[in-house]
Amino acid sequence: MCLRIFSAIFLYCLLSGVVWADPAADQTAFKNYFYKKFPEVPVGDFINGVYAIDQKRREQWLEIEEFPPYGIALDEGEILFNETVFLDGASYSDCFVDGKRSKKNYPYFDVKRNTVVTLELAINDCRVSHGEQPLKYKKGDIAKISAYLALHSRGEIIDVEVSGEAAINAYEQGKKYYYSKRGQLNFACVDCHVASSGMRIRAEILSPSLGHVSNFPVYRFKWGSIGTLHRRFSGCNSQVRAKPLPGQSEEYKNLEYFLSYMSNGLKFNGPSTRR
Amino acid sequence: MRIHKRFFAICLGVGLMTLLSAEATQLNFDTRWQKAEDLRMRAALKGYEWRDTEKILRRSREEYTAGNKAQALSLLSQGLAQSDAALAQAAREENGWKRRVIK
Repeated sequence: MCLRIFSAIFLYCLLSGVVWADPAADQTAFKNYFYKKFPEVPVGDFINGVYAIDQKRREQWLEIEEFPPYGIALDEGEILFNETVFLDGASYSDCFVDGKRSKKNYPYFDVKRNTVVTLELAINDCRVSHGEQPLKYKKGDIAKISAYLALHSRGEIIDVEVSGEAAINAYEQGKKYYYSKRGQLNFACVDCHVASSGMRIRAEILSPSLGHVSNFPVYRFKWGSIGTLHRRFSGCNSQVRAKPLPGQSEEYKNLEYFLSYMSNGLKFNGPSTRR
Repeated sequence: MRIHKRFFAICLGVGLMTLLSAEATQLNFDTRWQKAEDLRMRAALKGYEWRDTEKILRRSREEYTAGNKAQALSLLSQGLAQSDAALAQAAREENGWKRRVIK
């Protein structure tokens, strides 16, 4: 009798498409998908996005990286991080325990605030707590500081923890956002960066989602400047004709949290250059 | 004299009808525009607002104010259709996303 009831519940859940919250299982399935789809790509190479799957573009990119266009932004980021003195005499290093090697600590779920804290949010929290105005989230000084911090976390392992009910809820919201179709073109992130990854979209090749978060902030030739991950999210939204959200909105923070968890075990390699 | 009276009455009637009709059009436009705006806001609250809907509705209002009623109504129809479709998308994706999760 018990077995029948259990079977009926199981069948109902299966048919109604109920998805259990199991981040670890999600991560395994997510990674395995890309390992199978691109068997020739070494696991650690997924951090290079489209340059991991297209040799000719990789060669061009490597040459660009010899004298990277984000170099000036990095220098400015270094000055901003190390030489800014807030109104109360404090500086950025007073807010970041690991100083310039802090990128590796983000994003994380802050139980007290019940929200995901990203590096850019932490930079502005630092400013506000010392009496300064927050910076704009998608480009400009915040991207420069973020790039400088990313540079000094290169080679560190992405290790995002999802534990506790509230954190799992944020993760699930990010997951839902990733898999939901939106905009006039009715596209989900998954449509381009999973099923169609490696395929062409006009002159470009769609990059695999695995490792996406590792190389931000990036200098994009389309932008002609350096920008944050949330700037890229906005661009994606806009391209499918969905209304872009503000930087550090709950939706984008949760999406970053979900994507970072999916890339656990890979190395940070930002900042980088993208087309 | 009788002809003059009749002519005057007809003119008055036509004038009144035109006035009422213009008011009705304005009322009709405002009601439809507000409906589209409400739908757009509902889609936005659900996180599914489309990129151009707000701009389309704003342009529709501007065209109407400028007296380009045909253009205004055409834009309004577009805005209404987009808001409607965005809400339908939100309803569809409430559970639809689960089918795409990599397993």
